[in-house]
Amino acid sequence: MFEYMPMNVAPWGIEIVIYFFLIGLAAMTFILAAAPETFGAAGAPFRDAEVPGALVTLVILAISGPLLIADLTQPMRFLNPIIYFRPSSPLSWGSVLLILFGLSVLAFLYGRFYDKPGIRRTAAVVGSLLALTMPIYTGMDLSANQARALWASPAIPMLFVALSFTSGAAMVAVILVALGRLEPDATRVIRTILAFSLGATLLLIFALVQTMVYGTAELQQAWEAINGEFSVQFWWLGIIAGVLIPLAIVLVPIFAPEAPIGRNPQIVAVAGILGALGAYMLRGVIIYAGQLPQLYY
Amino acid sequence: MTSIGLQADPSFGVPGRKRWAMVVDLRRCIGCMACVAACKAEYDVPLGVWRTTVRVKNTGTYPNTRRNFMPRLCNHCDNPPCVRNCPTAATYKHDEGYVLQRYDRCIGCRTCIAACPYNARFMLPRSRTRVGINNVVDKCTFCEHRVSQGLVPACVQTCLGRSRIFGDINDPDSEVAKIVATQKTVTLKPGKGTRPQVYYIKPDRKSVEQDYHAPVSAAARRDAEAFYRHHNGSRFFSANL
Repeated sequence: MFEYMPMNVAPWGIEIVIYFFLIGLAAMTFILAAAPETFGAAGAPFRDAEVPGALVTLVILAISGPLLIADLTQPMRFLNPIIYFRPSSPLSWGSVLLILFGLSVLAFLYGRFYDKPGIRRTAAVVGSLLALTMPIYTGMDLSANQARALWASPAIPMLFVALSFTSGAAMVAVILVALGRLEPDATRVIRTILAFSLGATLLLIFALVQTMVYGTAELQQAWEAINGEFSVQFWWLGIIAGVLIPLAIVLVPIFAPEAPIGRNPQIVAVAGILGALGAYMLRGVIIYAGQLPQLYY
Repeated sequence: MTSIGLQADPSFGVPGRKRWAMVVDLRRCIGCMACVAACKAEYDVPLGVWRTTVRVKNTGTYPNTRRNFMPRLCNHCDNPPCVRNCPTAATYKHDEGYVLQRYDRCIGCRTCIAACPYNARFMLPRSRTRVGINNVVDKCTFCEHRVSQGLVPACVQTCLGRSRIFGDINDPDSEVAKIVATQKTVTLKPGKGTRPQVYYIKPDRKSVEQDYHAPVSAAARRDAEAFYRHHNGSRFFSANL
């Protein structure tokens, strides 16, 4: 007999990573698209993104919803989390909030196309609040797992919110660039959002790294996995390409007000895309590396 | 407050209620795997997944070596994170302490697998030959169907060395209660706050500590690779089995 290690597979694979990324992307895209209604003059730079942004949100929801259902091994029971609602389960809350968010986006578009200002404004405000719960609930799906040391941290939902802001700002920038309507005002706001969200990401990742390096055996093992098999995704694609480079691009105007690099709409959109790449990679690494210490236990 | 999200209050130490528990005396375990075979036979547990396992770890270098056996199963925690995280109440806490599954409610989101610190849960494959329960999460049930009929779990029944001992830990006259009261026992990962109800006598340190490494021997690597191939080539669940 040899050293025999029967083990069960880790539960969450690439479908969950893609879903978490897409739902975060949809959430912040909607918040920015609805900003003219929600924030009035402060959101006015995104007036041109209102309809395309809400439509893109709807398309992403139309992809991510079925993806989430297809990931279930019993997809026909997808309503069970609502029918047998469990207040203690973030996934149960997520199922309800996701549906309400989708309905808000539909209501917003209805109000926009049929010129119903009351519905449009209510849907914008309610939808934006619901959108904010999307990265929070996905983060809490992880942080509720007391058994997974890397996940069981209040930093995870906050990190997911920051990643959502980055990817959503990138999507709106891409939409406006594609329409040829990324004006200086909108560019400035997107740049500011990216600067704050990427900065917050960097700080939260730094805090997580600190807990891993100084942490329990499980956290140290997660750190070992991140620096081993996930080092390219984490360091090169996640931190360097996904956070540091775009952060440097959007911070250039602070240090060099005359330099065009941080003001050029296309370059800001590229910074956003890099940030979105980082948002995907960092989510993936956290989801994968968080599961490995248990796999071999 | 600890009962938040559970469907039955923890019964450990509550007078008048049963609390089933297991003691595994590792001084008696010979690694024969009869418990694994009995469990597989009792439930027709498919290949590639386990309700109970016996992990084997070699320690030391020749000539000072030792082979350690570590039977593992669901710990039927008094504070089970799997129950709290299940979005459909498919996983629930029984009044007598079992953590059980309602197969007809399970949606296969695998949140409970993520929540379990003991790697005790698994996904049943899409098709099975004799049992009609497919594509849902499964786990050890402490053989609730046998215990409710006055029997002991299949693994306990078959254990050659009488290493596995089962009973109501709330009953001071039961064997498990006496053992836990008088012997030095440990539980797995007590720091997780799960209050597991499988007690081990004299486990090896290497079998209890948090350990993270891929299987080391060539045979174990081959075995693991075959196992991953069975699961669509991935350590991570990806699409239905």
